[in-house]
Amino acid sequence: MSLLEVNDLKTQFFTRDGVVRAVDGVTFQVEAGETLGIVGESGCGKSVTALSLMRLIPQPPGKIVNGSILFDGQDILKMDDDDVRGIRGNNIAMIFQDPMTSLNPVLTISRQISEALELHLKMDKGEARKRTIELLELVGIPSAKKRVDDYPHQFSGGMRQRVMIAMALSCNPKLILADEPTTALDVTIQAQILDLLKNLAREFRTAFILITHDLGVVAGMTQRIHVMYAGRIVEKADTSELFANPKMPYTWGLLRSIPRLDESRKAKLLPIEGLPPDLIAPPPGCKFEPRCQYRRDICREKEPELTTVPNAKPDHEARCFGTQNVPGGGWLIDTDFRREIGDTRVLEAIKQEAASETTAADTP
Amino acid sequence: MLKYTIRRLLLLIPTMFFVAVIVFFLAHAAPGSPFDAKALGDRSLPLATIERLERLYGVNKPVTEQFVLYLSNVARFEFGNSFQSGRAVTDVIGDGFPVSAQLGVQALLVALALALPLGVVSALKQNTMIDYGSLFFATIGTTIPSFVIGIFAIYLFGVTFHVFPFVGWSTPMHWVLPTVILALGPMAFLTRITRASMLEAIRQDYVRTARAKGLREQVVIVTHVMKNAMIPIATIVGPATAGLITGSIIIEGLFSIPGIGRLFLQSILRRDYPLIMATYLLYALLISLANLTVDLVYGMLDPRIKMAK
Amino acid sequence: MATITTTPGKTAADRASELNVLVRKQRSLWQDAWYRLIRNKAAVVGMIVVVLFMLVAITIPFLTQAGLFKDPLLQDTPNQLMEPFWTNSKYKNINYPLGSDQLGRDILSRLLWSTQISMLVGFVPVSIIFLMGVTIGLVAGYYGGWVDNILMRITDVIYAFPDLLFLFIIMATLRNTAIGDIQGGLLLIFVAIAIVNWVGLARLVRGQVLSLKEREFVEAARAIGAPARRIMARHVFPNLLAPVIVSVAFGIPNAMLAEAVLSFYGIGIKPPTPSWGVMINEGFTVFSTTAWPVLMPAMLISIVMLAFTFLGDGLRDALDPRMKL
Repeated sequence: MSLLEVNDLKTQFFTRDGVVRAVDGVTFQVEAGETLGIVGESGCGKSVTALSLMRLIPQPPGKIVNGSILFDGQDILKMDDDDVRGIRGNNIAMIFQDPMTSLNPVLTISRQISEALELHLKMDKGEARKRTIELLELVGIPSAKKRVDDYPHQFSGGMRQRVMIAMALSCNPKLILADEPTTALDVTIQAQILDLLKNLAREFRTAFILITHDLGVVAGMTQRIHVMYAGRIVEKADTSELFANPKMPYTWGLLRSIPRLDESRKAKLLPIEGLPPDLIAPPPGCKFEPRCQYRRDICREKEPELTTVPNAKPDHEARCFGTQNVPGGGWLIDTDFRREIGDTRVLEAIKQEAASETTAADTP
Repeated sequence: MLKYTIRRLLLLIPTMFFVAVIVFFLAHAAPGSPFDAKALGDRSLPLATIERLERLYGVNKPVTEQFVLYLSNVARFEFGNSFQSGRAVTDVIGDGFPVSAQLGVQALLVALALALPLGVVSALKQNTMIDYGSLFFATIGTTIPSFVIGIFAIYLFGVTFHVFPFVGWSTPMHWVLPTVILALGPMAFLTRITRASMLEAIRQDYVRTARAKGLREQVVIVTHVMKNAMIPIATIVGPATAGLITGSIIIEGLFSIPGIGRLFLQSILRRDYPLIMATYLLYALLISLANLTVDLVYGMLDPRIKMAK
Repeated sequence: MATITTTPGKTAADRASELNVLVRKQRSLWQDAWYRLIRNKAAVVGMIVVVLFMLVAITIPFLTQAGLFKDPLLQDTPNQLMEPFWTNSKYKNINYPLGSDQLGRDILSRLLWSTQISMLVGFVPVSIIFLMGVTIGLVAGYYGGWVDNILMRITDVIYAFPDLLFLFIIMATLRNTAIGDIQGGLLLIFVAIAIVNWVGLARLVRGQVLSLKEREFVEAARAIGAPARRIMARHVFPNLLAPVIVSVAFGIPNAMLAEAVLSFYGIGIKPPTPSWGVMINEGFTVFSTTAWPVLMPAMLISIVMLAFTFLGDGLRDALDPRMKL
């Protein structure tokens, strides 16, 4: 039995302009001790998925409207509030993106870390303080004993994120959700924090879900990667398999748009043209179709399922008619994405549509 | 912290000096002297007496000379005698100050005691009847001038229903109406500020972190949210005090309360220079002290500022 | 920001009708704010009331000349202290629908004529405050240096003066001088209110300029060599407007209130010019006989102030919905 089993999770936000389908049917599992990466552009639903796992979605205007989240066999969505609170910070913990605003400026970090210890592990003040100092040393804060009574603003960005990590680890959770943990930090600090997370994962055998838009971050950290787009998972694969043999045009676009040091200077950057779809009124077929250079008519009519694909490892799934072995599909099964960039006429059409949309968007 | 306080206190002296200069010259810019018929309320004195009084009080000297004279007296803590009653200014103010202080403190306490809980509850139950009710009340309190509300209140509770007396300050029953009316303005303002401050604090990321740790909502609100929300509120108490001081002038006038507010009004109308100067300086001092206290309190509450000092 | 994606050969509108979906309208920032304002019912009511009062203020001289309303200064002592038409008193006179004061003057027409004073006192000082506060705040904030220092010292001193007290002193002392005689004391009131209140706006503008100065679009303008004056006018100023507009919207009722209080204590507008504050002052002396001469101007003041407050709140919400005060 997996540590975490998410089935057909749907989270929506009810706004004045309509219902935003932020997470639209997401299914995946996480095993004990493994690190799963969830990758995607801003607005694809990855953060909302993480918040849904802990039922931290603000209740208006958001609502988890469908699905089940089985943690250690129990459905989080069916628990009552007290039980959910018992899990938060205790069995599942979360590290947020911006350590500057995620820590309370008027409480000492000793207080903020001890809170969870006193609540979940029923420690008294003395034990909690001792454990807090241990945790701070563990995450690499120098002079932990002196700094434990400092306030968040007295730490640098990287140190603050370490404090958040210490807070997350405090009750020995089985699963940690890290939502863009390094996005707000300098690149050199990023590397340190990622190293720290990797070591902690190995030492305490904690499962991690690492959410990011940065493919470079997941490359060295995860065993498996799920790619999300428009509220759905569009590809699932082992990390090395994903980078070596991706099977979904969106992933191809992502990998192609990363600048490489060994490219010739004349080579142009190849971005993914166009913009993510409107989650209130998404396109009826494949959600990526409007920006896909390899599209065909079937892509506009129906949405592909997430299934295994030929020419790949057995647990590699992709949501694309082109790479699947289905009637009407399969035209991309043998495509090497590094050589073939699709129909140039289609590419031109996409560029034109993107340009006309942006001018339409600018006129009042 | 101590150095900062001392520095601010020292800065008060030049500020007070400027206040004194401006008020002194303004007061003496008014045409006529304190002793002519208009000022004394139509009790006209023979011209010779007027001239003698003016010489006695030095009112016929050039203004700058009068000012220097005044300053040298102040340095010896002599504030002169009131022209109207002949009594020492310090005595007159000493009579009125306790009354006004009592009125002000009572009003402040009432305002705080009602505004803070109302603001917090209103923020937590946003967009419910409680919220709309308190917003409505807050709007009325900050919009309609206090003397208008005072007039309505006198009409309702004093004239029509004879519930509360509205002239004078003799019994506790006399205290009710003036205190409540004076408190209304600050109360309404404080309610809005409290509500806004709470709403802003609740939206912060660290509240999400607190919930993610599994803390009960009550703990989140009290420990995490309110501690942050109260900081801006503490700073508002300074301007609120200033509002109380100016409001007391109006209220004392309306309810005929023998405090320094009424004294101030009368002294302006009757050109009682020593009294005008003394009361105005007193007010300016009180307000500056209130502002200073606010800054210090803010520094104590917010650790980010505390360190910087 | 795109709202709908398209395919080759079809426009966004085609696609929208295909999908049976409403394409979200694209709006400019000001139109956005306007729509938000309109949706706020209280603000709309406030706006209507304010416009109504302004109309009255403008047209009342003509209406009175046309005979629709009595002369507000005409005394008629036999008809003094008449009660309004809805009471059961025997002291009623249909020629005085809302009653009369102790000098026999018609209350209705005095109430209406007071709108002129109120509107003037509301808008004129505030315009002065706007001009002074914005220019000085802009210069102090943008250029810094000694200009800024002086401004800050001045504001410190003025902050030690509670505004109402200072207003009292100015009015009480200068009222009977030459300045106080211009236009029945109006000029003095304008100047006094402006002097006391410009500092707040200047500080607000300065603070805004300081934070805007560091923003990238100012840096960009400087990088292409735009002169400081142009940067201030074209780039910084439009971004200041929102809190300034709100400050002005609340400054107007503040000014009106100041006049009402001053007149109530007899150191505001010189009688016989009617203003609501003056009417309350005069009515207070006969309060025990009849309360109407006091209650009616009091109610009108309340209504106008409420209207401006709702409008001000609505503007604040519309121009920056994040500022949920």
